[in-house]
Amino acid sequence: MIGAGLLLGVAVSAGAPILLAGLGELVAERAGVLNLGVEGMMLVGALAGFAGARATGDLWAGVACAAAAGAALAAVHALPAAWLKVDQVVSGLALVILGDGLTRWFGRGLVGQVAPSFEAAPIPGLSGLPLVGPALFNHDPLVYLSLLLTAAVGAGLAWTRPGLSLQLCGENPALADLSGVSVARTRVLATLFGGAMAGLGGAWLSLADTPSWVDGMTTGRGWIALAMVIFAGWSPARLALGAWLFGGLVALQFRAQTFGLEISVYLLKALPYLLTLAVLILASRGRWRHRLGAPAALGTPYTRGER
Amino acid sequence: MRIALEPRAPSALAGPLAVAAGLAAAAIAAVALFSAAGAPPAAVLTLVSEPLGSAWGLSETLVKTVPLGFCALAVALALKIGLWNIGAEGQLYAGAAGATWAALTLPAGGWPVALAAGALCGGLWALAPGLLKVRAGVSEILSTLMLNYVAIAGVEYLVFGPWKGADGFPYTAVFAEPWRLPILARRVHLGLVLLAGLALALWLLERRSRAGFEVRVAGASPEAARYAGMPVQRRLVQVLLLAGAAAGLAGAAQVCGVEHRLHAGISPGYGYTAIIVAFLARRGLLLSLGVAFLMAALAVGGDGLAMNAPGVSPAVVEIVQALVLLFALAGDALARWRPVVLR
Repeated sequence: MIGAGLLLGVAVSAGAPILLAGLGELVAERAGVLNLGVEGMMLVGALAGFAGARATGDLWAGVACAAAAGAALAAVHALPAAWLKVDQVVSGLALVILGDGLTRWFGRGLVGQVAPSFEAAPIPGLSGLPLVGPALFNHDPLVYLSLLLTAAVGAGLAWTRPGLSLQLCGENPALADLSGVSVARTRVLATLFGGAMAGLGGAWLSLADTPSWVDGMTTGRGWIALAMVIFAGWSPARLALGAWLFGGLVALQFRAQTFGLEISVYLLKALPYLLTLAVLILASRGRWRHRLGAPAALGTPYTRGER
Repeated sequence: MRIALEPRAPSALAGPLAVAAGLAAAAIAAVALFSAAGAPPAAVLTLVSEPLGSAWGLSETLVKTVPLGFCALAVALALKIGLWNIGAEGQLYAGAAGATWAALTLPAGGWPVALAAGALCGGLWALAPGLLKVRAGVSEILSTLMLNYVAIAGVEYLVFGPWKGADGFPYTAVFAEPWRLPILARRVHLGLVLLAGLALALWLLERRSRAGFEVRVAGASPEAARYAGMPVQRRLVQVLLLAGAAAGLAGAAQVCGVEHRLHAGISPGYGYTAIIVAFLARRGLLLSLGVAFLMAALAVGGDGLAMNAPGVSPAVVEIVQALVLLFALAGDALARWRPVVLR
């Protein structure tokens, strides 16, 4: 059983960046904003986190930089999407290109440098439990943060007044407007939150996973996070399961030999993307379909007095 | 205080003005980036003089226009019916693999066979997302994108494995002469003519055929098309198949015309840049070629930076592209809506 616990632990930690970024996108989409720029926001988060931690020598300052940078890039999408009715698909794609370009530009001097990095911090008493211990309680602080934020986002959306207003903006913005909620402000804040979370996901990559800066180091995780939100049917708990499943696959790429598996490295490379496809197909089929539901106003701009 | 949008009177000038605004804003940003990197602002002109100021530069620009143009057609075509083909990059790699398979294994034939094999593989690579879209309602944005990573992993498998060249490096053997595209001048190959021909043919198909009309109607309003009894689902699949074939030709032309062998780095992201191209060209097929030329010029200019402005990272090209897109997008919105502040 020790082996199974370890495997789960690897999946939970490798899934953390997808979970963090996915939670942010989930909140933005529940508010009605489709932001395809997750990959770009994760990249700026990864670079800002690394640069911040390096400059200050303080890991949490780096994490704060990562969240701020992710949110700043999200603002480039949020403001035009909320107030100018721009095409959210194009604007989101622009974020990916912009994030990639900006991080290549500003990251040049940081390639090959070192910064402080997060270490595993086992939780006393809990990390020794069979199965659950290695799976959940023997991680670095950012992974714990991903667990806490999953619970917080789930509870916040379901049980708090701002959470319910936010959902209303995504389902029926006209009704939200009538009930005194500022749709534009809610959507902007939700998108900024999404950017900050993607930034945190990036920071895990550059501060905990492989403590370094490498151009394009997110390698498609932002896109997987987007697919996972659909797979999860916009539910935070199911998002966590999806993220861990894919985290396990990503981790397997690098550890297949250690586990004594004889699988082609190229097949392993393609597997997360093929499985995402499989998941998207499953998510759109029969029994699943009626249980899933995209926010009714997802990607649709809202102006008062228009239908 | 609240911001609201009032519709403006439609104007034919709005579109071109929005793109011009995007270019102008991006140029200003480029100058700022150059200054920040310690290069004289005038070095920005490298981005123009390098690709267009010499026969060599112009040739390089045209060489890059070919794959970018084919991919832009692949994106613009899908946009006609309202689909986002984010997968031109993967379709390009699939096409390159198909052409390479033909060139390395078929006993007889030549570059036309290789191009056909490439178009077929690219088309099949896009067919899957098309079928998934109409059969299962899977978002083509995500499915085409996921297949990019799969295609690139597939090509890596081929060139590191069964197709590895005799010298042990991760690329295939060099194509024999009949499998190479004829050269027009310098490094410019026949692919340029084929690109122009394909754009024209697709344009005629769109404007003059019943299928083209149905695609345009379905793109403007799927409900209207369905109500009129048009085969919208079938057209969606056909359009993606055709789009994939165009992107497949990009890869086939690249391996048969420029590289003369397959390796994992044949595209620096043409399929992604093509999305910007198709959007800026407002999904126009012929206009896409013009914009592809400009973007190719920008890419060649970026390559020239290392020589003329050593402090400036070639990443500036990507930043400028993204800014052109964002500003054109905002300009486009502002041309259609007038923001007013309500108190």
